[in-house]
Amino acid sequence: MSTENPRPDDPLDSLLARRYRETSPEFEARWLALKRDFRPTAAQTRRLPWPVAWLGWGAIALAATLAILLFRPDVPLPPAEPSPALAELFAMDSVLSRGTALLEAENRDALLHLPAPSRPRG
Amino acid sequence: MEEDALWLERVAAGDPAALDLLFAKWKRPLLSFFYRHLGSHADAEDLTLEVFVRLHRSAASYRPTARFATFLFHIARNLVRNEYRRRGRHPVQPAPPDLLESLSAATPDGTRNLGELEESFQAALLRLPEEQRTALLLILQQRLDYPTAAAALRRSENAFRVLIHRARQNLKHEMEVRP
Repeated sequence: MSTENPRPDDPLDSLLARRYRETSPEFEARWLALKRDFRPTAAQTRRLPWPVAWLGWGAIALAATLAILLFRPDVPLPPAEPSPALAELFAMDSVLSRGTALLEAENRDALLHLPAPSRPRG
Repeated sequence: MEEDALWLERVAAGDPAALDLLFAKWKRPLLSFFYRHLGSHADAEDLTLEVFVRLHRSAASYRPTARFATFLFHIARNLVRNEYRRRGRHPVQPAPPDLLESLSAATPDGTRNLGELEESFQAALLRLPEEQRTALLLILQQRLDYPTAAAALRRSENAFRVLIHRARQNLKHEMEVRP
């Protein structure tokens, strides 16, 4: 409200400034009846207390993580380093490969993923 | 943030008491505004209640970028304009005198009956263009400051001051030619 406008002194201004001093009982009764009909607004129905909202978001994040872990596509294993013993065999294979392959491609891949035998120290 | 804007936020959060606070504060200003605009007590009551229906509906989307009074009277003015479009003429239905503030200070010379004065004044006011009438009411009845009132009419402050000046002149003229 204004502090800029002085109280009106012109008669027309006084008439313009005239307001309702009070309301009728019928009007107040209509307001009470109207209020009862108010439905929650869309935002009111959407808004949840913040702990509930945080729990909801946490549950969604957990479900998404589980879904990724369970249904993730098969990721190819990184190429393994051949053990020194196999490296020697592969070297021979590459030299002799122009003749008859010592190792079929299938066997060669399988051998690549065998754990290297530990050598006794000594 | 303004008190009214905070109350409206609480309305959006589902607090019915906040709407009661807004109603208690603004019901008489709105009734007065609509009554002077329409000259009908019954219509003033209808539109005042409609403002609160719209406030409740728009509470969730309200952003306090302007003064609350600007927002409120923008709604009120739209309702007035809709009402003008809806009905061709404006049947006058005076408010019960006991509901209005007393008029002792408004009697210009003491020779005229207060009821007659009120009646001719209301008729003169209704002959003004709607925008001029709204401007006068926002400043003199609602006692809004110029920037707030100008914003409600989507006018610059300077343009609004010119509008007020012209409205005053027109109202005086209307009262003189048809007292």
